[in-house]
Amino acid sequence: MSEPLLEAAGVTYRIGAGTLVDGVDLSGEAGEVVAIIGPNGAGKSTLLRLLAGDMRATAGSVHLAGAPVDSLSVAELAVVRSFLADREPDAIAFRAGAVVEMGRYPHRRRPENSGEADATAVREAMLRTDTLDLADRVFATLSRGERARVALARVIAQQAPVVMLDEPTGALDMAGQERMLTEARRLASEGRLVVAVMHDLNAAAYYSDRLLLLSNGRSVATGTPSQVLDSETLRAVYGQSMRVIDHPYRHCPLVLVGE
Amino acid sequence: MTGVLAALFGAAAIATLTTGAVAVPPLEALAVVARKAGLGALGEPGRQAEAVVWGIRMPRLLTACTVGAGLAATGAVLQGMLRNEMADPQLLGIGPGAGIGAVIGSAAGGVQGAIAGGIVSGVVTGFVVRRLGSRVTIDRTRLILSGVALGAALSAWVGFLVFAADRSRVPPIEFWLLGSLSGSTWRSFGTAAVMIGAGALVLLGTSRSLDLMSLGHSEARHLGVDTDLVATIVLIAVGIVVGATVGAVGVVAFVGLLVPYWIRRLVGPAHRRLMGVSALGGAVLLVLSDLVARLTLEPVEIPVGLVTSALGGPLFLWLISRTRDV
Repeated sequence: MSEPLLEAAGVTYRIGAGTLVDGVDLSGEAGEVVAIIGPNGAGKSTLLRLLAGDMRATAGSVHLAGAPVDSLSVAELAVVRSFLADREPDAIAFRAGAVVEMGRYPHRRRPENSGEADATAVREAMLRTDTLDLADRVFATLSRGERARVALARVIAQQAPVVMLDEPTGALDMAGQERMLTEARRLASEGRLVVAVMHDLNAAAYYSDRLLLLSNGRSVATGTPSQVLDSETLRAVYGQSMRVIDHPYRHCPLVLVGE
Repeated sequence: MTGVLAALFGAAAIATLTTGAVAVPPLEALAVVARKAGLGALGEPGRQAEAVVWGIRMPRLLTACTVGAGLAATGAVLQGMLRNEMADPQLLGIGPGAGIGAVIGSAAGGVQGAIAGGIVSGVVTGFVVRRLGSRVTIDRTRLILSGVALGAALSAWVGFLVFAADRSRVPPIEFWLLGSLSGSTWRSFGTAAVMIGAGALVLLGTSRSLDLMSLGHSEARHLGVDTDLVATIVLIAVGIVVGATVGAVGVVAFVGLLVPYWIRRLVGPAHRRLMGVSALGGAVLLVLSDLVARLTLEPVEIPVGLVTSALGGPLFLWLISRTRDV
């Protein structure tokens, strides 16, 4: 149980003369929400794609559920991790229900899978994201918030032990953000590892167990939100004065901009 | 839907078999087909009717069906894979590319040679298009523009080769660039049908992967679809299908654009069904277009590609006018 689902050591990604990710270590266990934070261009999304096996690290290693990502095929990776991109295409002519069903594609040839298991997983995922009544609507005709929920339902239906979310709240209003992250928290509490790239430091502070703060591709700080979110560190990384106080009613730090 | 298409198809097929320089009454044409296909005697057809219906019009009809079906199915697949409704094998340059090998093959070994050569250069062009596409994935319209430019250059080379070749062995330039079903024989039909059928079966096997790829290629990879492998398989199969059609009847434009465009609106985006119904629609469209090509300026036959382009060009313009780049 204590074996980490994700174990990354010295992950580095160079392209041309640039180093987008530089020697980052990160591990995560079942039940955790780990947020990758940092300014624009810090390498957060690149790091997540390296962890997901989308790209090959130039140096260092990534293990997912004990196996080196480079050794896993595209099909094997899909059983181990799911992924919600920050900007997924919206012009999709399939109905929302069909899109969620596609989340079951990785399981189609697994002997223990059945049509019944597929139907249950799809239904449950749509129930949790409140998308059942969107099932017969064409995906392209949905609002941004609805599309985000359907995409999340697809990710849930995939039932991978590691869930990767790239800025999952980018297109959502505040209520939508809360729902999305509450759902992420719930996925973790069910025994999955959630790794999310997040821009909103306060959402990251409240919803995650651990943070990884990136700056120019390097890991600046890791640890619990109260360890990482420190006004001096944030000022240095973001080039912006910030203040960290205790959240008035949530047990976590609250980051405020300005003096 | 398929019922309407099937009825249209039946009417067009009967018209193809019965009309022309030698008019054959429908019942007599039916009798010829029944006897030749071993379905029993439905009367005693005349020898001339038999020669015309079975020797000339039947292979032409069947060639139109397979070529139309093949082009429409490849259009459906390419549009799905490239996530672009403007994708069409000829517009992307794969048809003209196949033409180069087909002309060379034709000079070397007649129709069989043309089909073989068309397949080889069709597959090669498919990969060139893919390389162009991989560089311009951000801008989907540019892929089409590159295809149009590539197609224009390759068409010029087809023309050059035709004029350089032995006129007595290689069909004239309008055959290659505008397409014609007038040279169809049982032999050319047989070879083309085997290759088109084989390619189409492979394409059908990729249909579920293509469904997922319509979520976006990166999303499909996250769901376990090896998109590079699928693209490679699709381009080889498309090259085979399009190459065989070009070797058999030349470049017939816009069938691969027109048919899937309308069929998608009728049957939805799932590729298995889309491919199947598009194939049927393509067969109907090409049989009808060939009928128009034969009868409009009778006794002069116009290239069938003129008819399909007259229909497809305006649709293409309309698609361009409403495309916004994502």
